[in-house]
Amino acid sequence: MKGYLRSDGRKGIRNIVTVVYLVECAHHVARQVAQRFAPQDVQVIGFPGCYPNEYAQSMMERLCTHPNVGAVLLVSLGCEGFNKLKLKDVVAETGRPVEVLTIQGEGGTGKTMQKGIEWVEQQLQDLKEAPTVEMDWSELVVGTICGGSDGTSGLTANPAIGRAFDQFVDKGAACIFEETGELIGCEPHMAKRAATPELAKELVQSIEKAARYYEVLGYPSFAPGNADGGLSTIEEKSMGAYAKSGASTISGLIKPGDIPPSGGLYLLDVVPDGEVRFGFPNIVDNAEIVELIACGSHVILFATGRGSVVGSAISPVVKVCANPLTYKRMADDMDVNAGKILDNEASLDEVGQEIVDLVAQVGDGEMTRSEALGHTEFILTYKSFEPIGPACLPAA
Amino acid sequence: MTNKNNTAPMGEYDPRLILLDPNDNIFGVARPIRAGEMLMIDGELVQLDQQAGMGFKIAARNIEQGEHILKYGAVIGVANQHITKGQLVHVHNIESTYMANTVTTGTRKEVIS
Repeated sequence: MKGYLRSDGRKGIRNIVTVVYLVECAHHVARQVAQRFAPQDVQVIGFPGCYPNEYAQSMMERLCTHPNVGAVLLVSLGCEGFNKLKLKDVVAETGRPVEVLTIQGEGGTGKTMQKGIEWVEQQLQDLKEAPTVEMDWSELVVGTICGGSDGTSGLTANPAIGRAFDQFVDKGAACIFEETGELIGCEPHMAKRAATPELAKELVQSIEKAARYYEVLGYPSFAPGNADGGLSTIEEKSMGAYAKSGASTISGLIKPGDIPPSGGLYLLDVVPDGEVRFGFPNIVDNAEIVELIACGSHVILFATGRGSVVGSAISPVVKVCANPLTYKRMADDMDVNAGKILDNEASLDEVGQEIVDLVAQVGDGEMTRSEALGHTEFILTYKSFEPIGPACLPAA
Repeated sequence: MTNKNNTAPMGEYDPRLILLDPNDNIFGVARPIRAGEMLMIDGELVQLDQQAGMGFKIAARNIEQGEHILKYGAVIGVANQHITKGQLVHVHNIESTYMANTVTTGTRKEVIS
């Protein structure tokens, strides 16, 4: 693999310019600037809310200094609550080019767009010269998620990703699995795999928190399509999802924006702390993908049975299709056909190996299907978290 | 676990079914099976009561009301009625031991058949 070396020592497998709206009111201008450069790597990310939120601030700081990001343009309306100057300072400290354009100060939509386009044009010129260096597996962070799950997800794609995860962990990479609301029922199994008894307790507590949270909301994380696809209960869906984590020892529990301190397998706790405040923990798959990326994930392995099409801003998404019938209908959107396991055309180990090989190619710059199709979904909403305790990262 | 009557290892079964763990009392469905089709389970021919799409579940043995449903060797729910070997196991006859679903099948067009 080849990476772009950043000042914090991390390496990126992409070198993108992010155009960041700091309130929904600045979204249009940000989008207009980025669209001018399609299909080059200029991507829009942002936070829609006008009220400040610590989580959103720290998420944005992590995302704008993600190793896959080369330059950052911040677009502000001017009166929103987001602390844009702090964000600018955090980005500038990493040595990345960063600029803030305030629409009210620049004189409106047209003038801001023009200035933004000129700035991005210059960055793209400069980024073309950026050198790459060799990148080792131990420098890679891989996240995984499943979405649009059906009964095949837990038979093919999820366990195949688990096999790939085992290989990545053996090679020294950091691997992150998540969505504690979809691990309800797996806590006794997970506890047995924890590196320490104290961590085991933290893992169980994170699932108990998720169960309480969803209880208050009145819905488990279970969509009509899950039942139509043969899943009957949240714990059945959970066991299938849990297979993505493979069989390695669980090295730690992290929260959105925490970067794994070393290689190993980590659980990302995505359910907010404290009382239920801002609604559902993750309203849609991309909210989870963004959190995995904020934890430093260079690439996301996405298992889907019903057939999700999404990609993401910042990090490439590898789509592993669990259902052979879905694959036939939507092959153009899928990177890996794990459904062939059900057709007896491949084993779990073989598909696991295929995923490992593909991640190496994506790390070398090869585009995933969602990248080729122009998917750069992004969503960030209000949340609140307490920092993790010392038992969460026993080796750190 | 209340499957003490049914701990014998699984014998021959239909190739469209997958046994994910030796302790399981359900099979995963690898290829769709139509309602009314005959299935070989443990050397016995039984009739499937409802269509079973890919990734659905079929009872590997008789399951009593209140008995845990085991998939991957783990509890994924509880039978809310007697389930006969070879019947579809889904939201109509099992429930979560954690949180009830807010959705049931049958109200939407089945895409996978």
